[in-house]
Amino acid sequence: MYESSDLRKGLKIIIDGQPYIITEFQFSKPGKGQALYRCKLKNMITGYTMDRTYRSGDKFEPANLEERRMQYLYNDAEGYHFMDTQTYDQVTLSEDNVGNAKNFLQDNMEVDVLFFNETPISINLPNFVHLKVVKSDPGVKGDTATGATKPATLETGYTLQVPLFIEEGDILKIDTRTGEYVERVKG
Amino acid sequence: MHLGKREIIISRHLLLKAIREWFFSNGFIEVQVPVLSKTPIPEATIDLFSIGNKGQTFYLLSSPELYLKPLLSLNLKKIFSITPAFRKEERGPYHLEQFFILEWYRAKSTYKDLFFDCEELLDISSSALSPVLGDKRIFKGKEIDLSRPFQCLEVKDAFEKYAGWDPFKKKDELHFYEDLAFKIEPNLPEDRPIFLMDYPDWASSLSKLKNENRNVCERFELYLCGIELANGFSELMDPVEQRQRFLIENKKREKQGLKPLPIPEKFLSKLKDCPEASGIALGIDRLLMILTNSKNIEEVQAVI
Repeated sequence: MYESSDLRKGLKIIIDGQPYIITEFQFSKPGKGQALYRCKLKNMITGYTMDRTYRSGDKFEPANLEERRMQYLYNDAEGYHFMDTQTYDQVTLSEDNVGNAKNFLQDNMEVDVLFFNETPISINLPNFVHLKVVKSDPGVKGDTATGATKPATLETGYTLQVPLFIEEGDILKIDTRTGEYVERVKG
Repeated sequence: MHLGKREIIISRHLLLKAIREWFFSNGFIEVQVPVLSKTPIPEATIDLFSIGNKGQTFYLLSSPELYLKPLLSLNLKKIFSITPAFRKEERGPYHLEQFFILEWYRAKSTYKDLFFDCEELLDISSSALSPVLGDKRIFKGKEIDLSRPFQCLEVKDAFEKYAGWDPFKKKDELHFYEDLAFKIEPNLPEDRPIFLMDYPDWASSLSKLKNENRNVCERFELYLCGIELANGFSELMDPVEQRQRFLIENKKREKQGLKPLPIPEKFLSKLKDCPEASGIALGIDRLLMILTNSKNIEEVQAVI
């Protein structure tokens, strides 16, 4: 168990059966009063955030979280399937749990799957991935002003804004945290 | 401007020098007191470090009050001390487990007499740093205004204005401190000092209650730029009442899972020989932090 004085930014605890991570933390002890530990907490499954104030004497259960490196296999009606490349164990995550990461998942890609009490709850992608453009209309001729963009659709079905010189078949570097184009890797 | 450790250490030296000079020129005696005791003052919300020695438990003191206050009984009328203080598990931008307290007492005075000392001390403290910092004192982007008299705000008014309730009508300690931290303190002036004064009777274990209103204790907190800097009060000198308060503090400790502490009998036995007095403790590190525009008190420690 953790005590109030163990609370700090980044600590993962259980509240009402759900895993939360402390994203902001403030210690206060006004004028001879009891110590107050004010936390901003993020639910690690739903992403929902909330504020809570704890006092000395409060106790917290550590969240039993574990990250495992797994390979993305495929998705179907059941969800997204991943395999542990050492044990060959397979797990399935729902579309909700995969979240925006689904826009960047490629077959055989290695990702970190986060488990809470042995149940997979989310995945962490590498910060950058390389994906192929499958559809993008040619840039309008003459429209060469700096910063001009057009839409492009990637092999995963994800559509984003890219510079006008990008063509179908190009490989792009994408930042998975923002979902934005970084650069062209291969024309 | 962000100061390096060298400038910080020089600033600390200048600050201590100016503070000592001010006390000497005002007729105070400097007292050096121990930091260990077997019978510390029982306070509900302060957890103490303990040290075992030959089967006995000694505690590192959270303030010099235990040793300083009884000295008033020796007909020492104005005394001060600058001592290390220890409080377990207190850590944040404005808290450290060990820090320095400036504590002083004035015989034959009440808490309001300390306002003058505070005004003078902040003034000379700020001036003392001019060789390092120049003329202006900036904290968090705002110029600090130390013009006198400092503002005063009664706890009752502060709560009615910012928290919407009267802590003298409803005794709710937990709610009181939560609102103090999150509703009152954020509304205090960010660029100047203010005295928050006249606390509910249950909000201080060592201060005297007002003769004309026993629901109010003669206690104030000096805030500078919204940060608590000093806690002063008219000293309770009645040993019977003081013992009762210690017992209450110990009960509160047990409720929070802290061990009750032995009653400091020697301290109690000296109170009846003490004159009426006021006393105050000021956090040296916080004062230095604000005046040097540092982000936290760790930055102003003489540690590299």
